[in-house]
Amino acid sequence: MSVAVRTNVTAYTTTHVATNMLRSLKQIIQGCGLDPARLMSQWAVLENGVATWLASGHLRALVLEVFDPSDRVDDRRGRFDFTIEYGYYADGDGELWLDPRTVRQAILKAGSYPSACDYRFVADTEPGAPRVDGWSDTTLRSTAGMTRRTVGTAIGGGSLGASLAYYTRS
Amino acid sequence: MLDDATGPAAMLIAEEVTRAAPIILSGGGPQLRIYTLHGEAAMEADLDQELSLPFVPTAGDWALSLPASPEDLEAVGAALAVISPRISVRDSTDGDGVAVASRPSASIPIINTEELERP
Repeated sequence: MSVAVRTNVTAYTTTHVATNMLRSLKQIIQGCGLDPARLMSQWAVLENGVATWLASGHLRALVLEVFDPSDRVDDRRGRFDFTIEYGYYADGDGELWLDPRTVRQAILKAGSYPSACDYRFVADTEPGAPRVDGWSDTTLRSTAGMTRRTVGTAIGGGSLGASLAYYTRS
Repeated sequence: MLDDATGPAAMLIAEEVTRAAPIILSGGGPQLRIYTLHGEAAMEADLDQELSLPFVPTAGDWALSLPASPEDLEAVGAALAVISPRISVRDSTDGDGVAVASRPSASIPIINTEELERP
């Protein structure tokens, strides 16, 4: 019985962290002047992948890359990372919470992007991560010449924590 | 058709709009209003009492109304417009979507007793 209860709690906490990372990314996308239509159309696939890899322990980070498709030389404009800490709460009983102020701070610091900019989501996973429908392999853009700043842990639950960082071009 | 609305619907549920404003399905049988639980409330909910519906809510001429916060109305409306006219979005702050039907003045007749007492 206790195993079943623990399984349910784990399912809820992974769902909580997964959905709130997506909610926060939506807040970032809207706050930075980008069109949320792409996120909305992909929401179910994104949530399924993120929750699956959180539950299996393979998700290292969920990344939002912002780029300008019209720039053939260097299309990088910005990036936001949610980095997962699987042992954020050592006893695994951390409450479910979200700190929207951390997200708002990242938006303010990163600033807004031109309307020509587009974005994509990349899940950075450990080797051996299970395949999830709708996701394909890719490589992250280089962060050379960009500066990374961490604003703090934005989401917590169970044993999980998700800290937020943003990149700006130096 | 409902599968095509999964993205916008999942986003609205994740935004917890449906905690207070229901997803409304009007079709065959009683109107179905779906609310959602989140966070600790979802963890503590007793799901053992769940039963299947005794009717098919999408039988016949049905319509689905999704609640959205004012800032999401335009984007969700644009996404649903290309899916089906049966699926629409409404402002979650405009009551529960059944205000007209439940408004007392709309259904209760007012009797002027003074007129009845006139000779």
